[in-house]
Amino acid sequence: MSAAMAAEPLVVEQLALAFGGVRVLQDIALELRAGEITGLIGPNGAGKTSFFNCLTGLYAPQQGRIRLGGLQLERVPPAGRAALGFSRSFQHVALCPELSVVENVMIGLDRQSRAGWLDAFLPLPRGRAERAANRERALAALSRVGLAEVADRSPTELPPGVLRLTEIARAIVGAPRVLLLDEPAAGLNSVETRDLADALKRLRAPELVLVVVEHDMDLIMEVCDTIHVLNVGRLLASGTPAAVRANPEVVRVYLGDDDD
Amino acid sequence: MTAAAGAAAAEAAGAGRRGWRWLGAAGLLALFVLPLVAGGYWTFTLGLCFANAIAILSVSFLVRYGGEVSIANGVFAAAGAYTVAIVEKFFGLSLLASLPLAAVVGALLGLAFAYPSRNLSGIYLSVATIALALALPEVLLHFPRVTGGFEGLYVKLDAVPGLSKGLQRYYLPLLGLVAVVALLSQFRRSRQAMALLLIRTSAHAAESFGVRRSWARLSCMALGAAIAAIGGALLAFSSSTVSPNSFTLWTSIFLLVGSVVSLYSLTVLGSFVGGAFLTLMPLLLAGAGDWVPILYGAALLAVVLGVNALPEGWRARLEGRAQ
Amino acid sequence: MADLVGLVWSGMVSGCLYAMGALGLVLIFKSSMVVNFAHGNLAGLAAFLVFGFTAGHFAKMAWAPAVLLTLAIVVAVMALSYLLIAPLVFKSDLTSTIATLGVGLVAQGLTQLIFGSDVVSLELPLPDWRATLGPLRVNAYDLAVLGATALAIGALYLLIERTRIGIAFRAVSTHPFASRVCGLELRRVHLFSWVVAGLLGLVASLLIVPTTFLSSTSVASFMLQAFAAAVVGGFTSLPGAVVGGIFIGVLMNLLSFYVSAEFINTYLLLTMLFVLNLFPKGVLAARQGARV
Repeated sequence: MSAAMAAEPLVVEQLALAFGGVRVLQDIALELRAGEITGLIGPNGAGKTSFFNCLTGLYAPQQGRIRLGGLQLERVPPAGRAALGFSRSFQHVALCPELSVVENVMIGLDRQSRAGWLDAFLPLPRGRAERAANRERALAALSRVGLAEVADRSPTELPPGVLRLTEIARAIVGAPRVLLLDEPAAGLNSVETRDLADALKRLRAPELVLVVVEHDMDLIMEVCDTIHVLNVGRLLASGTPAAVRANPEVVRVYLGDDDD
Repeated sequence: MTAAAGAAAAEAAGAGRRGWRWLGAAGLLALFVLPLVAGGYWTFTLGLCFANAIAILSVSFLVRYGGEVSIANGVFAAAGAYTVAIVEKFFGLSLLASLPLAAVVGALLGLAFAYPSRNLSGIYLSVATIALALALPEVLLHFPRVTGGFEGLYVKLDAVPGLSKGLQRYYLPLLGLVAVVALLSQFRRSRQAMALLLIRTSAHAAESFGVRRSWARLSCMALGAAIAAIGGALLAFSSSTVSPNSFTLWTSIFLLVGSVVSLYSLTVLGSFVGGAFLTLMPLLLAGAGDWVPILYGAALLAVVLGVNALPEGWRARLEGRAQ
Repeated sequence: MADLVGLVWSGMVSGCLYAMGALGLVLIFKSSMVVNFAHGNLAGLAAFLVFGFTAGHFAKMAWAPAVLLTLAIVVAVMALSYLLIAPLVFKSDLTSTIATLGVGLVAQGLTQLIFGSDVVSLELPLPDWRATLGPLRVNAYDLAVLGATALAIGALYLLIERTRIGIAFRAVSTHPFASRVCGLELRRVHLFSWVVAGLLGLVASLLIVPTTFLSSTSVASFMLQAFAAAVVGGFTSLPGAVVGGIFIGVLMNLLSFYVSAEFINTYLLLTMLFVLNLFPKGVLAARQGARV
């Protein structure tokens, strides 16, 4: 990855998505910049997860364009986008209980690994070297989210906050260009959310587009540089946390008074 | 769990594992010197045990890495066995040449079955494996010139010159078992194994990291079939014959029984227990053959229900999780 | 042409029997998510019991009381089988399926133990009637099978659509968790489906016997056709089981006659793989959410 390509934004233009007669997303135009953390908020059903799915290629929008720097992404399937550096986490933790934490993270490097079937069964030098290098990278990713000391433990013994951070480590270990986190704070208590906020802030990197969908307002306001607000499939507002918090439309629809 | 308690538990688990390893090493040593004290009957029977253990390993492998119940591993074992017999009949080559070929034939057959069934899951795959197991005798009997029809073929060639027939038929399967277990142990550390284990837990997550379901299914079946074929090849060598009767649907079902009894173990000791159960039970009941299915069925139920009744911690340790 | 008509007709007749076997399998699967691999062995044991009660092995009863007695025993046996594997149901499909294999092995062993491995013939008390309708030759056996199948399907339909336990069954098979939350007793529904499946299996095995001899393995091998029927029709669809059964019956007959009779199991394998590649969950599969 050359430095010139490194800091490109992910630009979405006039995106529209519909299922049958239901319009899930309409007229979405925004720019997700590298080097900062972008938040995506909105009430349930606003279309946030659908938007993520469009970005990763799981859904094909009826209208609109998505481009990463100069590259148009409409025709690129999910596997292709993953190869381009898209990485995401899911709402439900998906770690393998039979693998240790560091092994789970190493899976994030599978796509970039070259070891073949012969290396799988015989302790050949090339395979061993690659495995050792992957382990180092996985440990580094775990350190970035603050989990280096549980690397060899089993996920079955660890609390959900740690598992969520492990998933994020897995998503970043392959040095992605675009990282999409879908409700990373769901199910975490306040202490774990604090750890998550610290970890997210450490993830900020000049070549990374980092987008977080969240309901936890404190987390979003603290961590994000830019926030986009979705409501019933339309973009309601965009701006800095302070600007969004002060926006009366946003307050009415989402941040709410007593009836939320 | 605090850090200190976690570390203590890990230490205890490590000690437990080391204990099992010593036991396993001692058992293995005993098996290697056994022919010095035991007679021909035992070396012959145990040779069959080892070969059966390898076939059982193939079922356990498919359960652990693929999450699939295969009732067709007898077919892949038959492929290996017949490869050895046919190579001897038409080319005059011994096991040393035909064993690797048997593994390849097994893998190819596994792929041939896995490809059209790659999208089938769970029950549909199991039923398809039953059909495969029942279809095999029909195919074998249709080409009697090659396969020897009902009577089957003999496997008479020695593989290692100088060593007595009886000892060869003991040590080669034993070495085969140890080799397969060692290869599988190394495999566990590979990225392919990790990918297979993850895709069992969550297909979506694995796919988002580039691991495709069809790749996983094809790989699992090819590897499982290759292991079964190696077991079948050594079985043919140990018992000196192959015939359609040795590879019926019952064979596949019994391999599954052995695998369950061994708790899907991928170790020498565990698979040997399964193999011994499978080989010795009919011999012990030699007058009362009708009791064999009842005992196998009862053993299957006892093991499955028993493991289910264990508390979660024990079960995890048994199944090799929380390493 | 006359051959074709005759083949299709007899294929439909045997297809009805596969359909009944398949209905049993689908009933059990829909309610408890278990594939009952013991179905064939249990049905075979039941057929042998009827033989035992009528041919002198245990007694020399007339048909009706023998069948009724066997029906009662089947109810008990199916209930026992279910209760045996009940702790595994819902916990893991893999282990409960393996457990049914265990039950099947025990049933197989019991059959061999009590009745030996000999082949016996079991005559059905049917009149020796036959008729010809154009190119079609029909006899009492055909009508018995069709009649029994129609009765069974009709009774099953009424049970499922009109009785309380039937409604409970439909609820449980669509959404077990929600059903339990609503207070439905899952165990009762499971027992219902297992017992009915066993009864269907008994009827099917009794009717298949005149076309082959009865041995400790013959019914189990007929069951593969029932499995294929269930797979083709969709393991989650009761009408699918019927359609699948007739389809398999006719197809196997045609293939045996026009291609070769040696390869029935191979045909079944290829048919299953072919159909499942086109319709991954069977032709008439009900829409089913993923099991987490």
